[in-house]
Amino acid sequence: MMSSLRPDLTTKIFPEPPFTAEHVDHFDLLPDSLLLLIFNNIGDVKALGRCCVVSKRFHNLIPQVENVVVRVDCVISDNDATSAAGASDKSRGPFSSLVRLVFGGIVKPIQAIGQFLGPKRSSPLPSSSTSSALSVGNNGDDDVEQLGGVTHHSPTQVLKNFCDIRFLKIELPSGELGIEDDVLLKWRADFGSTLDNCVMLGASSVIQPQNLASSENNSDTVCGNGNGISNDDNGSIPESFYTNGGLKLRVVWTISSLIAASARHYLLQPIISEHKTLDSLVLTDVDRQGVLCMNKEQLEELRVKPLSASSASKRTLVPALTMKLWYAPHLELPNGTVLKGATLVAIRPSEQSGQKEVNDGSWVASAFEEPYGSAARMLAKRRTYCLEMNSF
Amino acid sequence: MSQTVVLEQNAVETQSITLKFDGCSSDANPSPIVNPENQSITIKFDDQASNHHTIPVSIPNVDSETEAAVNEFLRKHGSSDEESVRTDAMNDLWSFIERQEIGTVVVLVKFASDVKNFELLEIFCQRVADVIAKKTVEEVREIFNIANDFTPEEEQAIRDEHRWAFED
Repeated sequence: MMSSLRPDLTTKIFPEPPFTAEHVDHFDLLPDSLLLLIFNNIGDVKALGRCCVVSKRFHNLIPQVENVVVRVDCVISDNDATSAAGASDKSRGPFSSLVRLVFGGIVKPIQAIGQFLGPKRSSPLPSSSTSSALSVGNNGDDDVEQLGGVTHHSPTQVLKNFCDIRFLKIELPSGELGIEDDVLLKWRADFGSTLDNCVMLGASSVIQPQNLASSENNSDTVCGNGNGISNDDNGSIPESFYTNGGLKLRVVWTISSLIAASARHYLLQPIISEHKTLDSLVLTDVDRQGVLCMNKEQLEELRVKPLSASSASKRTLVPALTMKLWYAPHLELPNGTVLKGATLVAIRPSEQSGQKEVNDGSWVASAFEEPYGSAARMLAKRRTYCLEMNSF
Repeated sequence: MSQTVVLEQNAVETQSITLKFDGCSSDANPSPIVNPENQSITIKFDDQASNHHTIPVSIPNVDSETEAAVNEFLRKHGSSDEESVRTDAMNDLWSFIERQEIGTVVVLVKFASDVKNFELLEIFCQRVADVIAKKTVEEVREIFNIANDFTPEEEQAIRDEHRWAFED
């Protein structure tokens, strides 16, 4: 019997049909190290979970898998956990969950500013200790909770099955920020114990190349020169931008992105403290709206120096920030896409800016995959505007 | 360090040809150098590391079509530094592998590991991983002929522990 070749001496041998080539376990050819290499190419945590049931050999190897991708099925806010209500209610303390922002519909910019920058509300926070979260299923606690008849499990619980994870990617089912279809909003944030840097790219509308075919036939030479500056545009922000709500909208975009990023960072604490072998952690979403990244040094920093939580909500405190903003009313990308009202914001903690004056171009441009990387590069060549923001 | 091999050319005249193997040459193509004095022919081969991508390999336990496909990949992939050529070679090999029986691919994983070709190893491992990821537990056991060595109670306990993996 081929099973006698296995090092696992506790393997039970069940009566099997006479040995023929067709009944040979294919994986008998491979040592554990190669089987593990195959498992490291699977990624999806559910597939890995199913593998645990296949055989004892699989079951013993899966915990050693280094590369895991968790696709979260749904995100449940605090309020959903304590009440049976499906869609969240806007009136319940706007700070505690960004999920509410999405479920509550698109919030008007002015209201949003009031909510983000206004005085601390006195409404009581939910008494439940669950964080709004991630569920491969459910709430952030380890307990499995019944909600509307469906059982949910948290990523923290699911990941307990692995002890050697080096590369972890978690994918939320959607971006947290509810925006109109036409609007472009993308962010990328790197965190250690606190925000290290964040880049946001936005546009009030995106016109895909095929839609341009019939229009725009005489100004292509003006816009298509690759550096985003047309004849009558000196790279500066037009005056109207300040009065027609353009600046306000972009501040809202920026703050929303930072809130989403800091909320994600906060949720990751239990996973980070438990998995000390992590080299890289990425928390993204299916829409590719936001990407939070942490590398090995940053992960270690968080373990050593715990994050500061924002007082009113379940998210990490955002430090005082220095921001650089670039704007183009009309930006044509190399692939033909046109962005209207394109805005790039590069954000760093104020106390960091003095030190490494790195070439802004590189870390900003590499934040996004194409075609948006090009957009960022083009925008960064225009006139720079600086903004400061308090911690929140 | 050189190895000397002596060949008997024919039975009547024992004319021997000495082949010297020199492991340190940089020539891409082995070209024989004849030394008339001692009638030795020296054929220099590239050392293992730089050349093993382009020498056709023989792969045990796979059919000739598979062996040919792998060799075609090695030839094409090793022949150029251009990204597009290498990507084409990978795509061709990938399409071929997707049509093969999974048992063959497992054999190829072992082969790639044995010859330390990490590009091949990555492709073959990824293929096996893709097959496993899509299937149910029973299907995986069947496709790979894996014996279920859990008792029914043990299996149920593990399924309960990993309930999240079975819910959609």
